[in-house]
Amino acid sequence: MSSGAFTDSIGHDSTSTWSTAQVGMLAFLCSEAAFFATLLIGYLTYAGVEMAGPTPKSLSLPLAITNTVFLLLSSVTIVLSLKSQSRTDRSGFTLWMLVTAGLGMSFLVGTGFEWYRLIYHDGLTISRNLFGTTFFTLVGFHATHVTVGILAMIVLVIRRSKGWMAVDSEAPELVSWYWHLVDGVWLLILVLVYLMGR
Amino acid sequence: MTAAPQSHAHDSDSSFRPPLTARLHDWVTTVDHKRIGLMYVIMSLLFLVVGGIEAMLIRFQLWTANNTLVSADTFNQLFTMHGTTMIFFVVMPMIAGFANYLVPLMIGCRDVAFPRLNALGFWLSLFGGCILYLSYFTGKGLYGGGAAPDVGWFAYAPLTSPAYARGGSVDYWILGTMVSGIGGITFAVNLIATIVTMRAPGMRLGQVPLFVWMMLIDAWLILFAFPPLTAAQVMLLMDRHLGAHFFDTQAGGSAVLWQHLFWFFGHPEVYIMALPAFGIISEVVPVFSRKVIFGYTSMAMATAAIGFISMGVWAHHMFTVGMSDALDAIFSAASFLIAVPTGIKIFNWTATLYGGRLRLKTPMLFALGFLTMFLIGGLTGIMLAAVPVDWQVSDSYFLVAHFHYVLFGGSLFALMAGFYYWFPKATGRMLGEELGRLHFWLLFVGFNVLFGPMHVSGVLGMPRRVYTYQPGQGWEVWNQLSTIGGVIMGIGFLCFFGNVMHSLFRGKSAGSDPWDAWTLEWATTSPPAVYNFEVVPEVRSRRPLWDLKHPEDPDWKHE
Amino acid sequence: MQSPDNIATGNSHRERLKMPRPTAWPMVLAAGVALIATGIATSLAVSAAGLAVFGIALAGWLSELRPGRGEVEVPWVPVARRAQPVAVSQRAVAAPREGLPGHRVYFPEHVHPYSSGVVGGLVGGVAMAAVALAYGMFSGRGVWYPINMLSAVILTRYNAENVQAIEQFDLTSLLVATALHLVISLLVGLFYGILLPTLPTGAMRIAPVIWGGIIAPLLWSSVLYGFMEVINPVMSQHVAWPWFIASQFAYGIVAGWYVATTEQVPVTQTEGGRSVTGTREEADPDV
Repeated sequence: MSSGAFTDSIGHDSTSTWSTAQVGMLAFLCSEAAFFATLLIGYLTYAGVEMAGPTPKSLSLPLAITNTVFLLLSSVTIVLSLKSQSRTDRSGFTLWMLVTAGLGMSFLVGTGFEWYRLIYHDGLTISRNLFGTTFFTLVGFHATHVTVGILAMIVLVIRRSKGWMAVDSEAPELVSWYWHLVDGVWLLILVLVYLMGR
Repeated sequence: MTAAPQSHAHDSDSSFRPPLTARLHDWVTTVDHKRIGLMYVIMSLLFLVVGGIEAMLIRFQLWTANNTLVSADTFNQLFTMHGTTMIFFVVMPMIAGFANYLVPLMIGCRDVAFPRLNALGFWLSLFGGCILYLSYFTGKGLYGGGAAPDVGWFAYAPLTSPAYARGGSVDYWILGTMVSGIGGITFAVNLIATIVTMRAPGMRLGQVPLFVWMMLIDAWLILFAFPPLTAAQVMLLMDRHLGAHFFDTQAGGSAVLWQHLFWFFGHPEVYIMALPAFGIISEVVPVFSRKVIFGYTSMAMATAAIGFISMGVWAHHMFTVGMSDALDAIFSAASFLIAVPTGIKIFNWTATLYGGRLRLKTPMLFALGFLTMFLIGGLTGIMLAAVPVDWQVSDSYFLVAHFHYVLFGGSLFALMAGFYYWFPKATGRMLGEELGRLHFWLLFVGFNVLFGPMHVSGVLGMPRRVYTYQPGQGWEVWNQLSTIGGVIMGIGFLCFFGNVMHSLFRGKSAGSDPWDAWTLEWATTSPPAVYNFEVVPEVRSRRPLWDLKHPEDPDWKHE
Repeated sequence: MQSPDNIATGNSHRERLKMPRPTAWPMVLAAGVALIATGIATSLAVSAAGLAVFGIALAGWLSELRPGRGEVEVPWVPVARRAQPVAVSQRAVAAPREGLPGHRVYFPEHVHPYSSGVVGGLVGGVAMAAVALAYGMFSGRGVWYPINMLSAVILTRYNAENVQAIEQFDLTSLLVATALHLVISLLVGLFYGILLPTLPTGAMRIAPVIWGGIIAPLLWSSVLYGFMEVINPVMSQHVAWPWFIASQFAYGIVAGWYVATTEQVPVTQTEGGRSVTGTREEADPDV
């Protein structure tokens, strides 16, 4: 029927350049992006409407930038780790993966410090005002995703060292995709919450 | 685990029949897409019975003015549970079941991309439904009606705030739909990866059956519609349990934000439920008209267009909330726009019927029922997309009639067509034709007697979700007609379940290809072996079985 | 599936296949998630238990992913229960005609031209107006009465109590009613022109008149009967239903008659500049 009034332009060969796991991960990351987009919309809806209590001005910009550096570096190191894997360099893979996880943990420590300051010095809690509500929800879910990423990296390292993972496994690459998304979300948060909100 | 536990089911008609526990164990541990599909369908049918009973209680309560069959509180719980059940735990799992069972067969692969994830998706859906119904066993328990959610299926703020929704009832609504929603996302991820990367050799994306095409778009819609709902539900949980203020107007929050977030999920959800129905109709109509589907490419394109536009029409559910005129106009125009691709589909199906040698078997009857009923629902939808009309009849029974014509007359009629069409493939036996016809006609007549008069009672001013009404407003007769229609439909469903039970054991043997159809699922046995195909077939056209049946004039010469 | 068109590709000939191994971990993991969720509504102890279940299930699941763990070899079913090759169909099939637009697409071979619908609609509209005006005269309320009632769909100046006003001439009301009447007559005429040739005719030349003149007006009138209260409250108060339905019939019979008597023209497709008609796919429906 392709010769009719409609031209057939929707087909491509089924020899896809993407592997099954890659397509699956990509689809999952789309849903994650939609999730964070909603949380960001929730934040932006109430950005700047706060009259009472702490506002985004209480946030520490140097701390946020330090955190950003941790995450950006980690996106580089996870790529280095993948490069080592493609050379089947096991120790290089493990080393860079652990460095990535370490940078992620540094980020978490930074976030923990920031939350401690906000809660105990500025008195900002989730129920204090709308800024607290939206900020803690957004940053909290981001930090949860960082934690999940770190756990995934640790699992990868263990499996690689025990030989439970095939040498050509796609898992490290997929985890790196996830990590880049989490990284990208953080950059959005940095711009929308820490830079524009002030 | 034994070497090949899954082969038990297919050996069951031979002399060896394992004990019940072993068979149950096989079902619980299965990662076979066909069994998971069947479990989805069985789950859907169970919840269909529950949701149907809730609907019948609603109808009996509204039989006459000032009726006291159920209390106002119970009535609120009934319509909430009815709506939530039908949408999240009947139509969604039925769709997931059909897609799980059929997509790998239709594109000629042995299982879905991530079989274990697939199983996870099913169990999350099922447990989500269990969490929702757990609410009936809390509070005062069943005797006092339990503490089921009573905030309507879209759970508007501030009804869900801790001040108005005391106890855990709303939490069960949030958590049940959230858990099943996560299941829906895993299902969608799986389906996309399967369709994109696992097609049979030679099968281009432009050659997959239209059901597969529509499920692909459907899966993308799920991926973009469900996470916002999950996020909104997380916000609601924060409000309820951690004292956050997202939807708390007292502290500057916005009740309208919930409406936006919910309907940003809610309207694509309507198409998530409709697209698979369109896909089923696109399979059934050609086979029973003995013709090629008219306009395959335009059909696929219209599906993609519906997918895109449906993400941008959500606020037409909110015309009465007091948005600005500009927003009203934009969302009204976008909603009119969606009638165009939907109209293309209707015309394509009609053109497929035109000049065909129609075989009016039960699947075709349901498909024709779908075409007519969905058309009515679509037309009242265009009426409602006009802002002034919406202001008049929004939240009246006219609206209830509209979306039941779309979701029941549309989605469920199509799912029933699919059920009769593919039952032989899944079980190896035909569903009885006589009971099937009876089922169809009872359902068709009952449906119109039930929901047709709702147009009138709505126009007469009867609001939805009222547990009773005063006499003297002329509403009684329309409500009584509706209730009678409900009883007729109930009898129709009894015929259906009787038919299924009878046919499972005594039905006529089906063979591989009882309908003389053209898509790949009919090339293997009924039911298929655990691995689907001994030899994965090579595909050269949109109708691979036509090519084999008619080597003198195969389709690939024309495509 | 052993026909020449279906070459086996990439399958082993050992008659065994690797399939995913059945596992309960997905179910246990889902149970963990469900318990965590239920705990939020009941007690955090339930959530804690759920977290433990979740962790155990995740560990179990990950162990399934080790190389070689998650697969199991399944032998093919016995030969007798395997799928048979798809047989060549004996059914006669109408051959697609040369120069067909699209693959096996079937169009009506002859249709009425658009002009017949347009003219038919306008002629029918005149007949309808004649009946309505006749009603005005015979009822003694004058010719403006039905016209003003029609315009009350849009104009708010009439209300059900003031019958005198409805009988008076009014220019705006005349213009509104005329415009409405023309547009609707035209659209329904077009609709008739396209639809009538596709409806079953049997052997009757007169069939389009029955469809367009009797069945369609009956459906339309009954819908209007139900909704007139909402659409046009003034008319629903004062309308004389027998006359109203008679005017609908007048339109339908005249428009249907006109459409049915016009010459049908062959469907012309621009595909390749050839004039072509469609075909049926399978001539023999003996299933």
